[in-house]
Amino acid sequence: MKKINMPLLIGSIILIFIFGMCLYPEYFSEADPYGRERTQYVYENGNSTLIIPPIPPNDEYPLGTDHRGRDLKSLIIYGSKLTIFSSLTVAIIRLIIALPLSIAAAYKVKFTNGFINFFNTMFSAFPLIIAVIVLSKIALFQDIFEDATYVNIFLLSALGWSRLAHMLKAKIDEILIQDFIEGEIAIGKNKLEITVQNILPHLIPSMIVLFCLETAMVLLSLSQLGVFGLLLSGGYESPSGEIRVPIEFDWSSMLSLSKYFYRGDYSYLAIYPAIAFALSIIGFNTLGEGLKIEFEKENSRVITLIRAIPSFLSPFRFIHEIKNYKNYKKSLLYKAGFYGLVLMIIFYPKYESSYGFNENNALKIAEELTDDRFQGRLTGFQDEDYNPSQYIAGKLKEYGVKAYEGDYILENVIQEVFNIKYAELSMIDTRTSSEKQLKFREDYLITSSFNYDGMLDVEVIETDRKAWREIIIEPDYYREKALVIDARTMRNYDFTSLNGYINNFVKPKAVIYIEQWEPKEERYKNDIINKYLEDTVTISLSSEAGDELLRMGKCKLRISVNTEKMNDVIGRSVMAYIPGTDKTRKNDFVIIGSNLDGIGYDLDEKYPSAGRASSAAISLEIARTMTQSGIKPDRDIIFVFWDGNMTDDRGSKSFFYKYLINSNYNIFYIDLMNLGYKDSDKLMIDNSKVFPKSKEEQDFIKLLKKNAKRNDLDLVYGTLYSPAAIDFTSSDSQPLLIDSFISDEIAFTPKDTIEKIDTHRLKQVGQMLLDTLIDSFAGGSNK
Amino acid sequence: MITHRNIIRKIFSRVLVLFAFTYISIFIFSIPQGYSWKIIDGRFVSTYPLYMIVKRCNNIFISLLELNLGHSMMGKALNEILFTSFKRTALLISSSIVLAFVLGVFKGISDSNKGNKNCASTKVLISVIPISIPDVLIAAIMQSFAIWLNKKDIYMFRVAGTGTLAHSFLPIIALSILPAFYIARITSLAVNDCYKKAYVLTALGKGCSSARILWNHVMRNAIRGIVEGLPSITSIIISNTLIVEYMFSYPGLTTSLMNHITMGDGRSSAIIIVFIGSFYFILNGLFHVVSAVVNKSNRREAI
Repeated sequence: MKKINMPLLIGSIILIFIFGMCLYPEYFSEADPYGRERTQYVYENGNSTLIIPPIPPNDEYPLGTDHRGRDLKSLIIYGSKLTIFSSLTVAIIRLIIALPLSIAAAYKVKFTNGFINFFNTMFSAFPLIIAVIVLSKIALFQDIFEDATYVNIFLLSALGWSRLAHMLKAKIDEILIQDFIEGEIAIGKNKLEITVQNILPHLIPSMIVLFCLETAMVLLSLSQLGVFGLLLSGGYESPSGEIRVPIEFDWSSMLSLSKYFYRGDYSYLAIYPAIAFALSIIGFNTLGEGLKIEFEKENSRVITLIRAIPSFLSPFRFIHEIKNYKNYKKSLLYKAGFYGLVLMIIFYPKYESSYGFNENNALKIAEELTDDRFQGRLTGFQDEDYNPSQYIAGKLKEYGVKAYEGDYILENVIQEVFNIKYAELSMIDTRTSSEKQLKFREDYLITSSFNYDGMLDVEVIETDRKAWREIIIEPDYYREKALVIDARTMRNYDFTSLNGYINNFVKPKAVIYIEQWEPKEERYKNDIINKYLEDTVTISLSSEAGDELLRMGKCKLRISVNTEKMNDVIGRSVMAYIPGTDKTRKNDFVIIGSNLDGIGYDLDEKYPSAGRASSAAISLEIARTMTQSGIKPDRDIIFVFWDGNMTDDRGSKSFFYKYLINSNYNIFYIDLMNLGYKDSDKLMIDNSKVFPKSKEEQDFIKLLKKNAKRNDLDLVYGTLYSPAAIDFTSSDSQPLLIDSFISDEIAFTPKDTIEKIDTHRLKQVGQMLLDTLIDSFAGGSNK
Repeated sequence: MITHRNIIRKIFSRVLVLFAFTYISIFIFSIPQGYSWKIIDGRFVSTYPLYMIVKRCNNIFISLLELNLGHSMMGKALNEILFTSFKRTALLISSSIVLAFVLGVFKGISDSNKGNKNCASTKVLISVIPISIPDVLIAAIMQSFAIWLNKKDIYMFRVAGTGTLAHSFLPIIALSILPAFYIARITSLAVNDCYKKAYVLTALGKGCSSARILWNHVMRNAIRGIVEGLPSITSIIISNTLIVEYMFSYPGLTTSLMNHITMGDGRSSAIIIVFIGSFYFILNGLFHVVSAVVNKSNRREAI
């Protein structure tokens, strides 16, 4: 009976499984690794339970979640790619370094043997992982490689090749003492010829074996590095986060995060990634040993197969066989099949959706929404009789999309909206009486709605907490001053406290915050509105202008602000829906939200907010296509166009409290932020608020990725902020946010014009969303 | 005379290696974290003068040669820190080596095919799989086990820390497991080699019992191979000590090293790493001496 090479068999099975996981993680995990459980109360059978991640293994999460609520199983599966490919890269680089050196050492080239031995001894005595930890922190490597992954790959390769070189040298020594080498020398071959023609071909089997074993060694080092907190992957979610969180996933980083939880009931956080490491190390080691057994056999089929590969792929051989086709019929048949398969894969027809998204319609709507007649779509400042809400409602009616709960328009009262009509700020040096006028929107921004006109003495507030006591002791002194606060170096906590002191005890005429932004940098005004200060002119000063103000010392400020304020204005959100067909799903909703309003204008400077307009246009066009194509989703798909979503009394809040608050609904909210920019070939998604256990929502994300690829769009992950998402973040509603990758550079600035939008991008994004909605909730886009 | 010259040359080269190791180790820790190169006017300019790094490195090197270890950033005398942590690490490593040797030799004997070639590939699996288990996993499993026992009010093993014997049990076991597997592998190969020897076949032919063949014929010769293989596991023991001490919060040399690295105390870290390196050299030398002694006694017996 023929003996089975068990190590080879087991190693191959394990590695096929692991490489499958690396290349197609979506087939191994239901959840996307970015989805998270959050700290929340869950109501079940009348009882409420507080859930705080990390959640230990249970039915929903077989391997539990990490401290951020991410499914550990998904993290391990998605993390395999970076871990395995990094270790393979390190092993390849080590082989590339070790091979010439070991050949030179075997030929007794001066110092090479000593160099290898010294390196080997050096990094046996100085543990490699400590060297990598220390050197990876040096700025030079970070500046050269930029990404932590490359720094670690470089250091692991550059410092860890000597052991491999040592073993390769031993193998080459064995080859060099063979009789045939003497023969080659006798016929006059030089060292290079012997190396290329004799040593390398005989060394290949050993190199393959050693490569497998070296990869296992690298994986072992990566596991050890992880324990010491070294992150393999690059990018961190928050620079001031409590624990550094990598954006990409890898097993080492998972071990590094779990070091905070080794003790207590959370040891599973270390055990499961370590098991993943163990499995892959076993895979590479057993494959290496299995291959070694196979190569040592006299009539090894594996060796024959390996040797046949170059000949099989050789184009010269192929041409030769075609010329003598009579002798090579069988071989030609195999090759024709192989090349046919390759060509079929290359030229496989591209997927075409059965439902076309009309990008021209979408662009037309976006153009109309950004038109001057809607006055920048600023909430509260629009025409009573003809406004964007009525325009969208009219379109929905025209397309035959049903009104939600009998009405297209949802009105809500917004307590206050304001618009800066006029602003002036000058710095007056009291010693020289010189005056410097600063430019509104370039050097400073007004962030409150308080009107003021006058001259104030400047009083710089120290960031030291002891200095703040003086403010409380002598509030009258500070009340008539312009208080200057250098917010650049302050922590959020201190910033909030100081604002509290000023607002409660002083209520000064003006507060100037020096912030970390450069002049002329366009700023999103709602970003900096300070809710803590009432009846005070609040100004955000650029870093440069702030430095100039601080240099002046005791000086005066001439401040003149005139704002247009409106109270109790009506916000008008638009809502329509396509009813679901499955009656068992009457409590399940998909809500597609986009923003109807722009962010208005200051003075005469308009912010057309074309990105928002095109998101609304995409949503509208999807509603039209689905309705007019007769698509019947299994659950209600609601299209909502929010108004006033940058205010406290936003449309989304009103919608949630009116229709969804007291019912046991399952809501999947998709927020379309700023889409359709022609310069953005990437979309950013934030699915961190989608639970990993929610199968349908996770399937939607998988399909979204698939359809993005079909439409040549790259999806990247990031943290996005949308006020509507706050309203739809609860135990039974999960928001998914979608934005253009470059929206930070364009959105909320005067650059956000319709010229930035193009039909190609609208088609890509619109088609991707339309197909994903149909694939997920209406049986599939391929009829 | 030639032998003497060779010995002197060998000693000289070892001392040179030790000095080079010490200097390079100190140099690595002397590079400031902010060190980088910038291109100014088309030229590469370093953000920190290289001669300053070399000077700093030289100062530490000289103070080390003078055995003036100085104080850590926290103001503690480094020789005290090194002495106490060295004692603990030495206890941990020596205990685990003894345990690993005993466990490894017995496992190796049971793993070896004792001349039977039928299940060779399965035996390979038995020896390869255990050495593929990362030390992190072993330590984490042990900790979980100790937590489980503690929950059941059994406090035989302490999860982390130091102070009592119960605190040392788990780190010693965790540290001995991987070297034990390596020793088992070496033993298994050595035993298999010996079973192929003519004198074993002769003994088998004479009808000796398998126990007698194993202990009198095979092990007596295999032990040389086992001891010779020991230096190759020195680096594994050292790197495992790092993980085990760190995960069990065992206050040995490596925990001390990591604490100083975290504090950014480059000087103290450099001195500690030199001590860890010296530990490696001592351990390696010790294994070589044991190997030489075993070799010599074997030869004497043969004569």
